[in-house]
Amino acid sequence: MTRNPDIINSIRPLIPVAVTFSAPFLIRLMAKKENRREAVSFALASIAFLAVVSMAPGILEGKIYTYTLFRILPGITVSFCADGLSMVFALISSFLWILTTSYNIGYMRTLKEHAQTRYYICFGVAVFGAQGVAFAGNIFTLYLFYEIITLFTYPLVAHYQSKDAFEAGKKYLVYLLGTSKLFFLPAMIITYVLCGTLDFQLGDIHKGIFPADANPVLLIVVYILFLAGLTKTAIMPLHSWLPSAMVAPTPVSGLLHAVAVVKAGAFSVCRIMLSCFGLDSLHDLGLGMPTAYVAGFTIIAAALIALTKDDIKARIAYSTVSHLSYIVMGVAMLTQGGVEGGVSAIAHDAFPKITLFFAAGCIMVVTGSKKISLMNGLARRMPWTFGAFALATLSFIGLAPASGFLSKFYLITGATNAGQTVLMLVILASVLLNMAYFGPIVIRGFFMPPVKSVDMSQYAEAPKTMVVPMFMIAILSILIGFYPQTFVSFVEVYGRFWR
Amino acid sequence: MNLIEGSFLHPATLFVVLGLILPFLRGAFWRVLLFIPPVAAIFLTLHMHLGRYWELDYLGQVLVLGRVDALSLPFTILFAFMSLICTTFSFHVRDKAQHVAALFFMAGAFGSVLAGDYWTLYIFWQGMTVSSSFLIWLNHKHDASKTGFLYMMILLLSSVLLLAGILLRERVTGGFIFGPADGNLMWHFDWLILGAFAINAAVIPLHAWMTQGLPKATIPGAVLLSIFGIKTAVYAMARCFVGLDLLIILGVCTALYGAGYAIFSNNIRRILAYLLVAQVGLMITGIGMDSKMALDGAIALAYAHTFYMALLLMAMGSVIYATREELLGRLGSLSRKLPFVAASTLIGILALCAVPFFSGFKGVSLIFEEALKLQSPIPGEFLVVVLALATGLIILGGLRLPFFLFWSENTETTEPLRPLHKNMVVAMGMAGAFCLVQGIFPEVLNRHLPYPLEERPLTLFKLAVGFLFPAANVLLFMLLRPLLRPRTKELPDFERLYGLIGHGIMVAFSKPLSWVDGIWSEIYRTVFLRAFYFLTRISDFFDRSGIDGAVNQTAASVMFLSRISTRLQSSQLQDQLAWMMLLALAVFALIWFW
Repeated sequence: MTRNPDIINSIRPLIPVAVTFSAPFLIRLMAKKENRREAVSFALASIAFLAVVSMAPGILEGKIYTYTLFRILPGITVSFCADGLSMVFALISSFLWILTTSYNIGYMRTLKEHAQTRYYICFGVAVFGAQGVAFAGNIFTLYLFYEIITLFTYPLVAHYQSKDAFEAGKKYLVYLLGTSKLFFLPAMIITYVLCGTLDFQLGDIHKGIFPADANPVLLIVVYILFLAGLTKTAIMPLHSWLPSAMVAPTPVSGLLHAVAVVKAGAFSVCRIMLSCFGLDSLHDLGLGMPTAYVAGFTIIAAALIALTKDDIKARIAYSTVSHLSYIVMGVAMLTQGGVEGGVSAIAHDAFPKITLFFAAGCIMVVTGSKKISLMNGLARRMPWTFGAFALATLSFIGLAPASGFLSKFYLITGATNAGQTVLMLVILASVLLNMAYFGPIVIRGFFMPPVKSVDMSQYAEAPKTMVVPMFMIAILSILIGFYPQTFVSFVEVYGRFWR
Repeated sequence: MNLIEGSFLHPATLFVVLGLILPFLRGAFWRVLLFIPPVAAIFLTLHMHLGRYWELDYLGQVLVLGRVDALSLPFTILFAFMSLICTTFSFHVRDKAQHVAALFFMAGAFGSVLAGDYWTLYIFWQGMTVSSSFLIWLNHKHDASKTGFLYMMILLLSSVLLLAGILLRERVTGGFIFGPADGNLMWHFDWLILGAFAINAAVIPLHAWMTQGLPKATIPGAVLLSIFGIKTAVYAMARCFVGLDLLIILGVCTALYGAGYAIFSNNIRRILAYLLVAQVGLMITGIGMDSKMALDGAIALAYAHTFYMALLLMAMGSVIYATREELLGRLGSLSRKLPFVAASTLIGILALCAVPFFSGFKGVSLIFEEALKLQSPIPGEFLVVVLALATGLIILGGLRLPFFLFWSENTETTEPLRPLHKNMVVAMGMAGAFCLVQGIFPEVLNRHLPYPLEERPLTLFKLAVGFLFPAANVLLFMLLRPLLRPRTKELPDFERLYGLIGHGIMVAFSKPLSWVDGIWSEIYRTVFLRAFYFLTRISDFFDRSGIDGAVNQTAASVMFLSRISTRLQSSQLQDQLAWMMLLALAVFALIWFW
């Protein structure tokens, strides 16, 4: 592998990973003292976030930090790298961890949940996994951390230890572990045999790591295996674990299923497509458009299914399935606009999406109900919660300048640049569908008279520890629109688009 | 704020700022603040100079927030005055949310009209979509929320079409300039943009959101919707699609359709909504004719129409406010009880009927004159006949409203009327005064038209037609009066179709997909999980009988071997020696024969 002069050997990418690694142990030590335990979460989340942010200036100059921890076989190492792509994911996953911690406290204490220490430990490990995925320097490291996320979110999904929860947890494991063992592992082995290395091609999204004379059929097989192995992206038909996993406590659904888990999947797909295959070889193999169309189908189909769901978390879950495919579709367009839109959507959609989950959680905590049809008039009792929900909805229907508008803007630009009218129509239709399935929740909450069987007067706004972070994220999702370069500049650095 | 030469303050800024801080204000003084943006906007717009202002860099594009030119300036001034009237009219409302929605809506209208590029237009356009939906939802009625949802979906479709059009246009033309399209060479993106504008201008068959939504809005909300939403779309059409032949046909159809429905509607605000659709049809016809005069006529009509339609909607709003009743069939003989409202309505209706010396006359007569000169796509004479028919229907519909409302005896309400707030009366007075001034002193209006208007003398012929045509219609109305009685039911319109499409998507796609999705989950449980368990059992069997067996067999054979070797080792020296000899022989033999 030719070394790019911008690639610098530095321990910096390891720092956030190490910091998040220490979190579960410290949480375990503080298990008896609730406040200290949560303080540890806060402190480490902030340190991790700062460590990530401290790399930003260097990376924006075009530097790439790499660090090899140890070597297992020639070409197989546990190594870390920090480039533009890592930063997008690492920034949101570490930043949203801080706010989620606050939300967690409100949620877990209000509902007096059992096994809180186990919960926080698993939460911490999952975030550690997300950081590891973000800074993974090769496919093997990526795989390692990807599996860590899967294994340690299982106790979170099955947190309630009910029959449903175990059933969902089983499904979760079978889908995620099963596919990664069945598809991802062989794909990785074939890649190793073909290339002799698993290191990503850093600093160039066009070349890829495969030798030019590799058998194209084999490459297509490897590609399909990789996509099928990264089930966290929830591309149809491998999506059905995600709605089932909604039995988990809401902050888990929020952070892990809107930010860490699913975005780790989407991020990994971006990594594999851009740093492993490279745009040129994907283009030569003719893989871009088929992928984009599968993703496009997922966007529309999941949105249509979401329309039929009365359970608020299920509805948001299907919308997540739909929105995740924005990322895949964007990258699969193989154009500058598409890559910018797809990768930055990891961040841009994360803010409104987590707001939605948090709002759903607040409603759960207060009313104990998940039925949308019973939420009429609830906004008068919980104006902040529903306000945040409304802001997130506005973001998803592409109200400029909210963050959702940015992702749509770049994606549509990418689609038109690629000359793909169908993909453009998909995005536009999804805007309408977003309104069709989120709009009624807001309208019911704010404007419809309460259902007779529900006594509204018993409800009040959720605890401040929940509402404040939720509303902060909602406001942030609007503010990002005023600084559209925040995440896109990382993508531009990553793709070397300015040259 | 041209105190310093070249400086410019966007009128929308003040509306947005107040809209943002209003929810956090306590006490009672906040309602006074509502007057600051409109008054400032009037001052700012009257002192505006032509030019391009406030160019921002956003997403790699240059946004032109303030393009003041001959076309946008009249609309801006119009909006500034209307914002004052609307604010006065809604001053008594204590629900902050309504004011916030109104402020954002007005800001969106200013922003759209002053937009110099399509991006800015899109941003404000969508802002208007959202805020106007709130004006409907805030009526807090069950059917209002549903209607508002439909309303928002359709307007969202409009902004989505606009977005698609903008981006496709950029690929071909390489720019985002919000300017005229070539009427003879319409690209696909032009059609998309036209579609977006047509939805917002309530051109048939895309009008039903308006006729359905307007009657469901709050009382001040309906006034706002009729002014800012529709006029912005008319402005956008006038900006981009002047001289597009299709617009003439669309406009005429819209005028006829709207006027026809107005005659048979029952809800008093719905009647006005249809009249509004019809009048917008006339304006669009004017825009479609490729002549300066016709465009002038359309804009003059838009200008005048804004005031009298607002006046009428305020009057009807006052009626609804006073009587808590909005069906024409349940109202009547209100002229004694609400004399001021009746007078305002009459002024508005006279203007609507384009009677000379009232404000509607100028624009309508210009459009008629130009229509007569037209050759294609419709021969001028034919067009004039159709337009006359539409105008006649508009007049019939216009006469029907005040007649049954104020002078007929079919009243069922005996409840005492709620007294009107003073600010409502003042607002109606202001709008009425504007109407009268515009009609009697048209030069006040002419000053602001896009092109210097060549003086057209008011000929005796025009005056005669202007008076006789409405008079003939009055006679016709008297004859047809029994037929025009308020009906109990509304005629079905395109909103049914919209609802049907929505349900169709639900039934044809969502439900089946959801079903397939459920089956898929089931397949996971029955097939995958079973297969998984089956695999487990096989490997379990393999483990026991295969691997365990192999291990057992190994152990057994080791035992067997050791038993043999035990037997061989008899601990007799001669045996050992004999074995050694044999072994040595074997070794030598091996070496020998190798």
